[in-house]
Amino acid sequence: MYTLLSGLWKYLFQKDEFFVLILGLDNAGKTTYLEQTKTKFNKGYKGMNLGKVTTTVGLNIGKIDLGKTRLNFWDLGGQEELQSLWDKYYAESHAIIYVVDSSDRERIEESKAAFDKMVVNSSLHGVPLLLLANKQDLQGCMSLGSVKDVFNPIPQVVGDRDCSTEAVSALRGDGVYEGINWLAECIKRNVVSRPPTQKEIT
Amino acid sequence: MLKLFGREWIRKGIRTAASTAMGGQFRSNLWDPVLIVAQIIVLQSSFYLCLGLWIFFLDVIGRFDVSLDQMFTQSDLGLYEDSGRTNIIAYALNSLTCAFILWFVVGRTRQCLDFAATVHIGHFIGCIIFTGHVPQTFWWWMTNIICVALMTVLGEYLCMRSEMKAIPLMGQRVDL
Repeated sequence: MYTLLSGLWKYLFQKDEFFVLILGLDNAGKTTYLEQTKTKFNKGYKGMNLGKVTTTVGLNIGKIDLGKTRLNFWDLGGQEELQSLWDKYYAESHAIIYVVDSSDRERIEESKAAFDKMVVNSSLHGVPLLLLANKQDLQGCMSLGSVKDVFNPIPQVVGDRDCSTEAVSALRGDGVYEGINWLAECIKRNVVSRPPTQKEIT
Repeated sequence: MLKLFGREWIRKGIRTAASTAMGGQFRSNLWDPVLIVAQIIVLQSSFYLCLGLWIFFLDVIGRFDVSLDQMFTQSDLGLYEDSGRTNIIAYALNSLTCAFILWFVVGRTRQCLDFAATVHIGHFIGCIIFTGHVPQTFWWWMTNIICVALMTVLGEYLCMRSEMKAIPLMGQRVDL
């Protein structure tokens, strides 16, 4: 009876688990963005010193709870050698956050190329996409409009999915709330084609 | 909720029951409400079946009158009368028998206490329904608590023996 009831309890109160990929070139601010998200959404979480964020080797994970949904973040390394690992995560992800360093005009085309390669992948069909123009706190960075212009041929490739662009500063934490909340709404809307990952009840 | 009952629980239940006696197989740890409810029903029924049989045997040997009161009435348990003593012996023997059923039906060491207690809670409710009040005598509580302990300990011992058996990996299809 105890097993029965404790299992029932877990069944009734389990959260819907979703997985969100954070992609982008190296030094775009993915890890900082993840740390900022964790700090803002998890009460009592003392984030790491954002000045000490270094290159991600492998991946960082983060978890936030929004009511009955739980978002798990996979922040993958963005270096060119590590980009070949991205597509291993596509089939199990429920949303994509693509971070662009809008202060780095030289590599914006490279970022665009990686983005195009990612977005046409068939295992990502219909997955909500959030494009972030990061580092808006820096002087002389590209505005959201000009970043949009670079990534403009989006409509044909993006196809049938929720898509949004946003200007953020991961370091200062501007625009983190709005982005994550928008993404959570889209994930819930997309739940028919991408159902939440069920944790097994033991 | 429909999803819960869509599983192939019969196949799994039979396999669980069969493999516990044999030992040596990986077992699913998933929460399976249908299986658990079925196990509780099986245990409760066999608890009363065995208790009935033991009481009947001891009544025949001791030449007492066979009656349903012996199962459910608190006044029929006690050390001061022959019939009460026989009844306590029947209860004790029953809990040992039920430990074997526990081994066969449940077969998990960590669930033995759970199921043994569940059976006796069921019996407690049965007593309330039959007599219309909560059992109050010292001997009723004493007997039942000792029975839970006996059933759990023997059940755990039996289950542990089969859980400790080596799981063969070679020469057969392994269902991980």
